[in-house]
Amino acid sequence: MEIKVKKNVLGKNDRLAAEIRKYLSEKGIFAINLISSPGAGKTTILEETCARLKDKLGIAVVEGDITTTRDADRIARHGVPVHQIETQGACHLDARMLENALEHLDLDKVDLLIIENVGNLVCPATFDLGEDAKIVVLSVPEGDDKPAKYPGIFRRAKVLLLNKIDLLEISGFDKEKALRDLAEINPDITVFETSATKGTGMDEWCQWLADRVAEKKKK
Amino acid sequence: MHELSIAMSLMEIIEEECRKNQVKKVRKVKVVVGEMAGIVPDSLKFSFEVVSQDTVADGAELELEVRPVTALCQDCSEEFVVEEFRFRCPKCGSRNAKRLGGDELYIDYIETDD
Ligand SMILES: Nc1nc2c(ncn2[C@@H]2O[C@H](COP(=O)(O)OP(=O)(O)O)[C@@H](O)[C@H]2O)c(=O)[nH]1
Ligand SMILES: [Mg+2]
Ligand SMILES: [Zn+2]
Repeated sequence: MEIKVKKNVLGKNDRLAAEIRKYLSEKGIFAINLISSPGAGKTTILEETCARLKDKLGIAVVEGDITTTRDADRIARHGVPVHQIETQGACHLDARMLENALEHLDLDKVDLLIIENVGNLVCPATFDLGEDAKIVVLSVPEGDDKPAKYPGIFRRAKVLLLNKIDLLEISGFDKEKALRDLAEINPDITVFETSATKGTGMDEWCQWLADRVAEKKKK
Repeated sequence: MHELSIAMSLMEIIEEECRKNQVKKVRKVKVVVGEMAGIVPDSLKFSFEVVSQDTVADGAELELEVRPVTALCQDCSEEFVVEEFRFRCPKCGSRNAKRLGGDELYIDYIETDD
């Protein structure tokens, strides 16, 4: 016997993500899903973002990175509500994990939800969390071939934060080549060149975020 | 290695279908995977072997049909296959292309012994 199934394997995750998206929209919250390799600078960027925006916007953070609770502690120091997901070694966050995490956060005064995904350029790209935008962080020491090697995430992301730009000279990163590859994969992506440790490009990135939050509030 | 969680979701759907249809033994499962779904076929096959052990699908063949990424040029309406994620229209050179297929990840059908 042949049973026609025609069912999306990720159906459960996608349905839950759609519910989260609806819930966040009703609350007028703009949500981003930060994705990168381990060590590209997600948490540092998050800290700098919180420092710049926390007096202007209500921010909440969900930490999915596996490195214990160290990242969550770094965010908590900025006085921003943060919940650490225990991924138990998972290589990505899924909508169920996010749903559970959101129950631990008071979202009533929140305008911007930032989710730091597990450090990995492949797996997180497949799992919708209900975010408004995937933000990919690529740090220049990782090499200029990354967009071409991991096109899935670069295609899906709305923004690329090209981080550790302070190391551009010594890393031999060919920026023109990386951006040329990127334009073929995703011509609509917005790129900010940042150095989270030196503060370069952080104001521009935060302005982009603030604009999106304002847009979402209007809807 | 998210293929393991994908294989688990796959197994959940298979068991649900088997219950509904009162099937006891699955011979083959056919899954359609787009090139942009972010799945490594061999890794999914291996994960499926692991999670299907001692289930209705123990020993079942997992057939994966890989579908290319396709796009529609918004400027000249050419439909084309996207090679290596390069979304450039081969006819007019435009980058203004809308993706059509390539992110599929669904169970097409299940073949049973019954
Ligand atoms: N030189 C340089 N180092 C950075 C920059 N951003 C982050 N780092 C460093 O990179 C390391 C990993 O950063 P972290 O934020 O933990 O990365 P994550 O794993 O993506 O969260 C830390 O030692 C940071 O201080 C940057 O823009 N320039
Ligand atoms: Mg981190
Ligand atoms: Zn064209």
